[in-house]
Amino acid sequence: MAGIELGNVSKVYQGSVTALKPTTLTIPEGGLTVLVGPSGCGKSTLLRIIAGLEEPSSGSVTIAGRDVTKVEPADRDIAMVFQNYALYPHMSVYDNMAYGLKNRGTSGADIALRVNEAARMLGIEALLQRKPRALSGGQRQRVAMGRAIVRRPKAFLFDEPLSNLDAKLRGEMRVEIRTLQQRLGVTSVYVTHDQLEAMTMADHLVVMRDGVIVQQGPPGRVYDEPDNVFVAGFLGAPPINLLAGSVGEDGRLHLDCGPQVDLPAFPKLQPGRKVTLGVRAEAISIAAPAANQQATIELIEELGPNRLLHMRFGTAKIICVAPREPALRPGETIPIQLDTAALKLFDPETGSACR
Amino acid sequence: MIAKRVTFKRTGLPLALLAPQLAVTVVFFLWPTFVALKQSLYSSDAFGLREVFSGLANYRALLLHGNYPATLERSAFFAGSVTAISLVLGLVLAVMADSLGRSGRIWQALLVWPYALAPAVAGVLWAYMFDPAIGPITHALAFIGIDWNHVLNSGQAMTLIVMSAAMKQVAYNFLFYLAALQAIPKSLMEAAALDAAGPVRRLFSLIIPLIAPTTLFLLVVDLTYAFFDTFGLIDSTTYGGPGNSTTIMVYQVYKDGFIDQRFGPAAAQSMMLLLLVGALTMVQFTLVERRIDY
Repeated sequence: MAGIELGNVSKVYQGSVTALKPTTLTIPEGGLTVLVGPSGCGKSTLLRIIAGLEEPSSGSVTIAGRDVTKVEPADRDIAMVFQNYALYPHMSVYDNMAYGLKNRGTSGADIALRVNEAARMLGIEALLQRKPRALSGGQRQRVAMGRAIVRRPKAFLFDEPLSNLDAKLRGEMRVEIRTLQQRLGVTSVYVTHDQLEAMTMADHLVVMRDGVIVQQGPPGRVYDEPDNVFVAGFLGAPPINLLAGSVGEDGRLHLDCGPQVDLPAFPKLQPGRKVTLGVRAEAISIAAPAANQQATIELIEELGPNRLLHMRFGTAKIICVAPREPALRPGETIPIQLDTAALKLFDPETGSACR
Repeated sequence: MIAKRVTFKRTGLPLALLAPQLAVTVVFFLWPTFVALKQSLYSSDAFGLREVFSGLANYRALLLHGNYPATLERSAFFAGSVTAISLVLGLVLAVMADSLGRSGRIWQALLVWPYALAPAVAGVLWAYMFDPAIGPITHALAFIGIDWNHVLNSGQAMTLIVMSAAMKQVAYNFLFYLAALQAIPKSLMEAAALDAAGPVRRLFSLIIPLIAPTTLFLLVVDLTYAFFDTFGLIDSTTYGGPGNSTTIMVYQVYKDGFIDQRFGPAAAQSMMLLLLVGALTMVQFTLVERRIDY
């Protein structure tokens, strides 16, 4: 295996604050692995341990088959893109990209070749003589990428590289990084707190919380089959609707907010058992032929291609994604249908999925 | 931001409020400057009984004859040495304290102490430590075969005042450099670590260029200090001697004006100092204005 292997890696700060509990993780070779989670979940710590900027309190780090736990960052054959780009402000774009190569004793001609190649790839050839302060956010981002590319490392590490950009640029750079990564085929680890970035970019998605990996897998599968209520709530926008209830004698789910809904065939649950129901916004359809529930519209958010309906369902609030037609008004009570097959059930005590 | 601004209806109150500051400025700064300027254009006889307007004669005599050119040279050497030593030492100490992280704070506090010491007191202490007869450091130096006597040896006298003047400025420079170092984003140093730049290369290719604005600022401050604020130090250690070997511009003004009572030349010298301090201040202002923002 030539990806990155973390064996029981942990990080405890000053003997008391645990940033990362012992974690074992295999980052597949050539793919883009996204570490996602709320701030303080340990994702950045994990990345910095891979980079060697942080020494793990325990465990081992293996990059491309070589144990690098005790190896200096410079000798790990990795390149990193920082959140604030970390460009050297007094150096030109060219020198920024060449610095790491110069320090490694690469010949001038070779440096020029590599920098120009990377600049062409990133479309920043015209900027090579500029200083970072004369660049826009997106351009700086590209230079930071270029600095990583010229090194031709075994792995790219990205630490929230898009969080300083505006929404539109973020969307563009997302695609650009993804395209570039696929073209170069270099093992990449990407840290973000943005679930959209995580979903759209990952080959392999790793969701973290409180210093622990809570779930990992291909993003589609993690989205469809969340192992617990945290993952379900973290992925997806608008967020999943979570409703408390208990299984009735009739085998239906009696929600605390009033309505009763049909349960999926699996898993079989004992009557009287308390569960948390998770319904994705897109699993609620309006005006469907079999509509058997009712909800009252409180607010409509137009998104363009579709719209979000904020509704009162019994006494609870739910959000659903609806097409632009038919015309609806706040205050209207409409028939809705929950897609029984797409319902997710969680144990309210442990938060884990009922399977 | 909301500008806090009070508009006065009449001019009486604001003038009354400004009066104390204006009075201080006029009485203690403008008036003496004017008197000195006037004085520098007059010559008096040996007994100070008669004064004659002599135009720029005092200035001409100063620059062309006597020991003033040597004093200028000496002052430049002194100020240059003090500035260079205190900049380099300040930076070295700041880099070391910065690399310590939190425990660097103790050093920070300790290293600032010399700055709190009054120049005259510092001078007395240095003079004692290096006293040719009873100084502990003099004794220590004797052990390694150095015969220290700054009362007789002009090179040693200069070394002593350069050291003691630099000591105080090291503390000041250290503080500013430490702040500048701590203002460098951590990620920049991490990026450099990944770029295979070792500590020495990081210092020269990243840190020193990045803190250049601080260095420029300190350069002016240190020069100003060495030229103008070292009177007390010299007057409590070497008295400008032996000979004139530690007589720098400010000290010569004192010697000529107060000891020799040659008011014309002394006044002309203070005008020279005024020009110098004016020039340095101009440089400082332009530097502060053009603070390079990264």
